[in-house]
Parts: sequence; C-alpha cells; structure tokens
Amino acid sequence: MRPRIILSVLFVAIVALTFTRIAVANRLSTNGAVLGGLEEQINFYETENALIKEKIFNLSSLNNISSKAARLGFVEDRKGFVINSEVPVAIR
Amino acid sequence: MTWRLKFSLFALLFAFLLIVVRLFYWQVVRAEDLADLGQSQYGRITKILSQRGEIETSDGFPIAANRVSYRIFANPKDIEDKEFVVNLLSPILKIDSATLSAQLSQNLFWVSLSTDVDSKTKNQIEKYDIRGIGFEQEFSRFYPEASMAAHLIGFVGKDDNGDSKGYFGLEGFYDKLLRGKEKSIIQVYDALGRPILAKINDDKRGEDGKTLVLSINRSIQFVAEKELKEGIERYGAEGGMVGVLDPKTGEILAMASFPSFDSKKYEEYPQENYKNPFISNLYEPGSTFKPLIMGSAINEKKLKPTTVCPICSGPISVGGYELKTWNDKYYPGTNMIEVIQHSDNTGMVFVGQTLGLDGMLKYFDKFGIGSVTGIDLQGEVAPEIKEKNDWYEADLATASFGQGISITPIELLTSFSSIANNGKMMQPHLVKEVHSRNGDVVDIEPKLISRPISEATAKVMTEMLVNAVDKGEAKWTAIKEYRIAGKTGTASIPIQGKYDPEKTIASFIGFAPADDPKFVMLVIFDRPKARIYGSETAAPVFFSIARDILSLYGIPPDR
Repeated sequence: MRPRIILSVLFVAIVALTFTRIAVANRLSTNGAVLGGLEEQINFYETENALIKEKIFNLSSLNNISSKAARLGFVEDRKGFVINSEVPVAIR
Repeated sequence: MTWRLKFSLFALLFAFLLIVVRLFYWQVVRAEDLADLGQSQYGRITKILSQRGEIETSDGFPIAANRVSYRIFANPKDIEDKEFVVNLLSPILKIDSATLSAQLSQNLFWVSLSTDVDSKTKNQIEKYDIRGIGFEQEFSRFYPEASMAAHLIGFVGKDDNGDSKGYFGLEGFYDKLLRGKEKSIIQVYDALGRPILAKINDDKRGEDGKTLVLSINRSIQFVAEKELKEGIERYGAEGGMVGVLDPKTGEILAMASFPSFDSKKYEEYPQENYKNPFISNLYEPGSTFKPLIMGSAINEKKLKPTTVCPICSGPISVGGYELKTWNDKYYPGTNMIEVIQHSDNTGMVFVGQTLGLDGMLKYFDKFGIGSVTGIDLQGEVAPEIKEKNDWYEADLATASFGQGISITPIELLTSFSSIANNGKMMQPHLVKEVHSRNGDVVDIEPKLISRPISEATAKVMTEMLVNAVDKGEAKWTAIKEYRIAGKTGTASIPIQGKYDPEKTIASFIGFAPADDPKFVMLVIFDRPKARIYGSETAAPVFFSIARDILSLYGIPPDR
C-alpha cells in the first residue's frame, strides 16, 4: 500500500512539473521577439538622435551663421558706442 | 520476492545509476565546455565600440564630435549583374568604375567598398534594394566648425593595428582619455536569430571616451582666425599666429596659426602644416622681449623708470659689433620709460649691461625661458639657453633687445602675462573640465608656475607699456577709449649667419584693460611683404581683435 502511494505521488509530481515547465517555456519564448523589437527601436532612436545632433551642430556653427549673415547682407559694425548714464545729483 | 524480480529490480537500479553517473559527468564535470559550445552555436559576441569623447569650447559647443556614418560592403558572390551595380554605385560613392569593378570581382563573401559614408548617401543606395550590398553603422569624427582651431584639435588617424588614434593637438595629447575602452558582450539567440531573454555576459567592461571642455572662447577664436587670415593676405605674409590667454588663470581663450589644415581631410595637406607653430616653432622675439628684460632690471632694483641712459646718444660698439636703433634715431638723456616708448636698442643694451649676465640668466629661469610651459598640447618645444661660459659681450647686448635669443610664442605670452597678473605667472592650459558619460566632472585648477617679478614691478611695467601704446609707433592704431598696455616688435630673421633687413618677424604683445586685464594677446606675422614693421602690421590686427574682445566682454571704456 505504501509503495503505491509513493509511486502515485511521484507520478503526479512529475506530470505537474512537466506541465509547469511547458507553461514557463511558452511564456519566455515570445520575450525574445519583444526583446529584439525593443533593441531595434533603441538603435533606431539612437541613430536618429545622432543625425539630428549633427544637423544642429552644423547649423549653429559660427562658420555657417557668419556666411548666412553675409548672404543676407549683414555687415560688421566697427563703431561701437557706450551709453554713459549721468551720476545722480545726490552722489555728486 | 523471487530471484527474477530481484534480478530485474537490480538491473533497473543499475541502469538508473549509469544514467545518473553519465548525467553527472556532462552536467557537472563537462559543464563549462557544454556552456561554451552552446554559446558558440547560439551566442554572438557583439563588440560595442566605445564612442570617442567630444571636445567642446567653453560654451559647450562641440568642435570635435562623432557622427553616424556607414561602411558599405558587398557580397560579390551574391551580386548577379556586377556591371549594373558598378555603374550605379560609382557616381554615388565617387569611386572610379575600374576600382569598384576590381573589388566586386574578388572571390570573397565580404568586401568593403567604402567607409565614412553619410546617411543621405546610404539612404540613396538603400532605395535600390540591391541584393548583395549591405551597410554597417559606425561612428566617425566630424568637426562642425570645419577647420577652426585645427592646430589645437589635431586629427584622428589610424595606428598600426588599424584602430583610431589621435595625433597632434588635443586629439594626440588626450588620446587615451578620449578613446575610452571597447566593450564586448555575448547575446544568446534562438534558431530564428531572435535574442533570448537570458543573462547577458559582460566579457569585458568598457566605457565611452571622456569629453573635454576647453577654455577656448568660440567667438574670440573665430574673430582671431578671421582677422589673422585677412592680415596675412593684406600684408603678404608667409604665415601668422595669434594667441590669447587669461592672465589670472592661464586659460587659453584662442590660438590660431596659418598655414593650417582641415582635421577631417588632414591627408590632403603637407605634414609640416600639422605642427602648431605657436608651441613648436622657435623665433627671435625682437622688441617684444624688452619688457621682460626691463622688468627684470627694475625688479632687481638696479634701475628705476626715471634712470637716465648714459650711452644712448649714438650707436654703441660692443664686442666688435656696432649696435644701432631700429630707425637710427637717438635720444640723449632718455630715461627708461622713453627707452620702451621709442623701442631704443641702445637703451636696452644699457639695461642688459646693468642687469648683468648672471641677472639675465636668473630671470630667464624665473620667466621659464628655456623650459616648456607644460601646456596640454602635443608637440611643445623649448629653446636651449647657452651655458654661462658660452656667452659673449655681444650676446648679452643683443639678447637685451630680443635678438640672438630664440623662444616659442607660448613662452613669450606666458612670461609676459606675469606683468598683467601682478607678477604671477600661471601655467597655460586648454582643458578646464573633463566630463564622463556617467556625469562625473573633473575640474582642472589653474596652476601658478612662478612669481618672476613683484606686484610693484608689474604695476610699473604696466604704466610703461601703456605709455608705449599711447606715445609709441603704434599710437596711430591704438583704441583711444581704453588703457591698453603693449609693445611692438620687429625682429630681423637670421639667414646664413646674417640678418636680412627686408625679412622680419613683425609682432605685437599686450593686454587690456591695463588696470584689470581680462586677456593677454600676442600677434605675429612671418615675413610680411607689404609692410615689415610690427607697428604697421601686427599692431592694427591686435587692436582690431582687442576691440571685439572688449565688446564681447561688455567692458566699458576707461577713458
């Protein structure tokens, strides 16, 4: 009687564990596809980021701004002026 | 139990034991080998190249950065119509058909066709969806301000192993810091090539290169390069240099020299252009050296500004040589203030003889003449100062007015900056901060090298130099609204043992505002042809740049 009980318990345990393994493996199997998709998205945005940064740097360079300003007709003003405010009477 | 049953049980148990032993062997004893085998079948080693650190100016703008680029490769065995591919790609990649054709004729699975291809070109080719043509993303160096500060930046080339390496300038000096460390990881994939959510092994820890934040002011650098270039063209000079430094910290605000090169296309320029002449070329400074000698004599209390020169009424004979003033004009009874104002060589001979050889050599050492300044750029040199026993009387005399002695421009600028900084000489440097990717910031603190003259001497020299600007040969081009201290220089160039009177190094050195200097600047023209004197070439360019710097800093006139 006792050996039968032990054998039955073992049998049920093995079957239950087998089903659990199948279920877990099934869940994990699709994570690879999700992970691959996420990796692709990360790479895409990193590349986009780098391309946009390159554009910004080129557009905001002094060389670019200076040549654009010259094309638009801006001329360097060599005569600076200073606004000197009068000292208040009380301090004089 | 009958003997048959016992035998069966024993046989089953034995078989079970065999299986357990075998399992133990494979899962415990040979576990590592199995894991490696599995990884090699389903795992791929991905090398993540570290990104090279950026180089930024003081406003955070990167003058050396990384951009996305592509390597275009081909699988010649997979391309059916090679002629069509060659005719299509040759004009896009700007590679001649014969070369492309030869590459595609190779009996290989992978051939690199072109590197450093931008994304626009890559998208153009990708549209055609050519079988056998693929793209590999990489990062390449790019310089948003083109050739600005090329001598400061240097360039990135390849070493013997084909890895990227910095040469010259900051790319060379800070190569290890900028390069970072490469990282490799093992990612496990399933039979369909999809990544498996499993432990990712970090075989080698890596890190991206660090970013350097410079003290360079982008606007001042831009103005300095523009004015220098225009000056070289206007005066027909062989070349020119400008250096601007903050005397209180030693931070370099701008440094430019021509002829220069483009860091991106460095291979198209002669190799001699890669050297930064501001730190690597020796030259005879001429009259711009006089303030250092005068300052030394006053600091030693051997002279006062009002001391009268007893030998200034005509040419002087020293050691068999006749020494004259630059314009053959003499001022009997002139004092030291006027010696600097008139840039009087005979007066300076008197100063040098009063200081003496021992005194002069002592102050060379204090001012760092003959030693490298330690600026953080690759390629700095220092002149050799003769031993005391090798000096003749004529050498002492000519060194007093800056001839017969060679220095680098950075040496002169650094030494002169002590006059602008109450007698304290700071070490010149370019990098003021080092940033790492994880947000750590390391500040580079200013470093005091020496104190060659006292604060009192520095003040006296400042007034003498302001007087030189207001009343000397460069007064016609000076900015009247500001008190600016400065000195012109016109040094003859020694050619085959003689000085050529027509070939000069024309220079101007000065600082502003005189009472609270924000910058010290040295302008040099090499062999100007249209005019040969510093007062007519370097001085106008100095004051033009100075006006822009004063305006940029919002400094109101002090007159």
